[in-house]
Amino acid sequence: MKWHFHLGYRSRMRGELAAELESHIEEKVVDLMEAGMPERDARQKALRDFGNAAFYADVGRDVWGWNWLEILWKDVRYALRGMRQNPGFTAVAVVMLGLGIGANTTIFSFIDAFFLRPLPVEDPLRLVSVYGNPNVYTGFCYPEYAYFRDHSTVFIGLAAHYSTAPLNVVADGDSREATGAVVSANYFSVLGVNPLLGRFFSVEEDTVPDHDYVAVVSYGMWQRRFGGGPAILGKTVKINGTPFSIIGVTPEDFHGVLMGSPNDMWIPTMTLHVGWRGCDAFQFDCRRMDLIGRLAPGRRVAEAQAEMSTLAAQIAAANPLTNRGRGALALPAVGPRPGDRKYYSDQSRILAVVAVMLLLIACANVAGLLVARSSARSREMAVRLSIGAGRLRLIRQLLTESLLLAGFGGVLGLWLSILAKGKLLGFYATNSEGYKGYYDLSLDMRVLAFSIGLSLLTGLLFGLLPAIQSTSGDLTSAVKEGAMSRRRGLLRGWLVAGQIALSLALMVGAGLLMRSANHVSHGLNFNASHVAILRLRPGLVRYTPARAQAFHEEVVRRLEALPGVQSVSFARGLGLAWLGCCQFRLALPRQPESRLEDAFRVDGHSVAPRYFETLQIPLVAGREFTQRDRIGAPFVTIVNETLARRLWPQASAIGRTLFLDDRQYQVVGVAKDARLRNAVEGPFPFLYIPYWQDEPQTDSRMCIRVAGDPAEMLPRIRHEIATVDANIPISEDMAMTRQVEGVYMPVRLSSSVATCAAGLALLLSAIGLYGVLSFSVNRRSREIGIRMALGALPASVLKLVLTQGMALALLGAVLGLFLSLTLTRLLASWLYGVPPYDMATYLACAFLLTAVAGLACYLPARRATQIDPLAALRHE
Amino acid sequence: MERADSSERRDLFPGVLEMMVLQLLRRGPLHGYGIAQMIRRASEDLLQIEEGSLYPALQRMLKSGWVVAEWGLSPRNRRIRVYKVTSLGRKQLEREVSSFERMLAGIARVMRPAES
Repeated sequence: MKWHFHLGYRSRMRGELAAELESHIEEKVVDLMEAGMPERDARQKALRDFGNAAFYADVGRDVWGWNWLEILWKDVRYALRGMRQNPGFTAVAVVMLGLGIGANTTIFSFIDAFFLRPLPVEDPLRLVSVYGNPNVYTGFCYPEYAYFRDHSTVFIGLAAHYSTAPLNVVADGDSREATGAVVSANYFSVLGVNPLLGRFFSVEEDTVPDHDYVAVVSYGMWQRRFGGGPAILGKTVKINGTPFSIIGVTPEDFHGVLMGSPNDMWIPTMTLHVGWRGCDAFQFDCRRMDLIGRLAPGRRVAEAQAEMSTLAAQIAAANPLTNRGRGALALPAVGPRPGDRKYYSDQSRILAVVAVMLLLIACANVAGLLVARSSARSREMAVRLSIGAGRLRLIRQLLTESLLLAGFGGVLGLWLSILAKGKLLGFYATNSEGYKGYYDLSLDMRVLAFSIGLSLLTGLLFGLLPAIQSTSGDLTSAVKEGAMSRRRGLLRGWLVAGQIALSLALMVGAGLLMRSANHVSHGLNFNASHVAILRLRPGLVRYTPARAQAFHEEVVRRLEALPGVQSVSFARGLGLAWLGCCQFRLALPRQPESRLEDAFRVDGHSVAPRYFETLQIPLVAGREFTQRDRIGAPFVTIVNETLARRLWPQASAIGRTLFLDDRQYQVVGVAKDARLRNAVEGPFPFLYIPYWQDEPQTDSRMCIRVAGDPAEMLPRIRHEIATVDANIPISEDMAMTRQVEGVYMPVRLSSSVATCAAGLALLLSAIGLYGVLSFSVNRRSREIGIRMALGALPASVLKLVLTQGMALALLGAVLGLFLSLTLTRLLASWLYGVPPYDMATYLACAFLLTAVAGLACYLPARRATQIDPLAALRHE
Repeated sequence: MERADSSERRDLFPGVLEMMVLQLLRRGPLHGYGIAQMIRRASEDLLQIEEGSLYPALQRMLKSGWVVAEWGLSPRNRRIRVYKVTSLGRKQLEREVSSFERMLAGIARVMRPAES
């Protein structure tokens, strides 16, 4: 290393110079003695004539520069020596900083994985994603894509892709799901991905619709499902009933282009009818595809945006009926889709706030320790200052110590973050539909740079204030023992109060999130435990609605006969079992057409008989749907309490008439509000209609209440369904609690993280409070000794110390309450069944904090009462 | 405190000490003590230069490449560092001398009217 070389070089230089000066003086002494001078006089004269040898050696050395490096090296060695002498202090400080830095590094790793990490493909920074605009949730249909592809000049290549998960893949008689993507033939070449095995799609294979059934599988699927052998190439598998030939395997690190949603399988756009059948993406009104393009050399994202907008306007002009006002949004191909950004950024933000608070507490704590330590060293500092050491030089040296501590903390933090990443990743491992998530969290340069930068910043943050303070002030009084600690005491007091405030805010946040997570896992007016769910899609294998209805009836009949099954129901596909499927335009009868404001849109769900029984949603009044509520019978509906109150505030809703999409319905039941709504959204009007009266359906989501563990029942349930028709794709089968956990993952995640952080924060601030009081008791031992010698009782000494400590704790608690009121507003969208200003949580946290603070104060206070007055007075 | 004292007693003009050292070295290699002795003797004790101040000057000249140094043995068998002037140093000396002479001439002109 270069600087190391310089250090060695410099020390050799210094040695030579010193030898030279010494030799000069010796020679002169000898000369003078030869001239007859006695040795003592000769030496004196030689030294006098020479001048200040040390100074000249210094100046001579300075000529060569690099002095700061040497000073730094000296400071580092000095600091290391200091750390070795105080192993307890060093260990505590490094662990605290490690926790703080580790928490932040962990969160940053996720932010990096979500938003910053480029795709693992060739030159990923030249890739641009194109989404629909202004509605980013919709993409483009195939004709739109073809127009963009054929008319754009800004891209070398423009590919289309959309995730059509799940695909039901039958291979060797084994039927399982795969997450698939429909992609254009140039997808892999635009990304610059090369096949690990075989080949990717040719242009000819993506030219004629429904003609070339070829598929590419991922490395993971090849290994898991096909044993990883070369026989995979040319193998025929059935995807949603259609035979496909596998032609290639992707490299191990390629998971598709959608962050967080890895693909197992890719099929050409011309076979898209095999995938999702909600609509036909060859038509203008079915926009499923996102685009990804590689910029031509020298072109920029802004140019891509301009060109895509122009082309979108041309399409709109040619197809005003379907495309009026539709544009395109071109963004660098990194991070989540625009529609998903908020989901990820909200989570990242709350976790980052928690992590930063933890770091601040750790910093305040270590700063407090440093102030205490510098009090112990105040004489050393004062002496060094008074014999002429530069103040900046001392500050620099103290900062070197802080930075070194922070550096060790950073190393520990990096290690901790590697452990923590694994834990947190567990939350992201599967989503609410049971699909595996994939996030690349391996350590990269950005994360490394972040943790190094953060360590430096931390070192300055906690080191600067104590360093400035311990080198300032009145020297004479500092040289005398014991003075100069008032201001330090004040600083430490504020540091402790600040820690307590931050801890309380963290505790309140954690408390609210814990209660919220509790509500989520127990459900609000529905009971997810002991319920198995799964998705049935006869539509994928071309069932007609009539055939699907017979199938469903047979499935329900058989499942209800299965031992251990208590009740069976199902609801319309798409959306979660307890969420809605659709929106209705609601109006009340006998209203003039002009009063349009009385008509409003309301979310609803289409559910089969025994749905309320199965999910245990309480009915406040009326009945649930039965087998008789079918086409031909009068149309009936069940409203929730919020809707009932809104429509008929004074009277009962049962028997009332309302219009849904201009069809007349009669209210036969009122259900409790059963949807989990967070504190931001609040309760919501909602209604249910019978599945059998809904427009003809083929697909459904089943919910089955069982006596035992739903996960254990699922194989038998699957088997029973397979005996009705083995070809029906069954997907998303899991315990309902797992689905709930998946949907409310952000709540559980932030609740767990905040709870850990709050626990640590409480511990740290208790240590801080304990430290400041112990220190104060030590410092005041003489005063306390005198008091006791003069007759103060132990009780009054106890009170003296306790008052001092609890005053700090209360100051911190009051600050913390204000801080909580501000910060918990950020949490509102994660709070289910608990308002952000929940008094019980606030009080419980404040109480817990005060109790812990009391304990932290009591220990030093009791020690104060045990001070021996004689010993204290004899001191000095 | 020491610093302030010592720097007051440095050579008269910046660069003059270096110039004298270069001039002495042009006649042959010398070690530090030798240079100091020569200056003392040649200036007949007129120049009150602390001998130590020679060494920072020598370090500066070493760094600038005007002189090179190597360790050798003195006639008294003592390890000494002997300095030699380089061609760069010779050129520097010429420049210094001419600029020094110009400076002397300038000072002389300024001083003359004051004498009359």
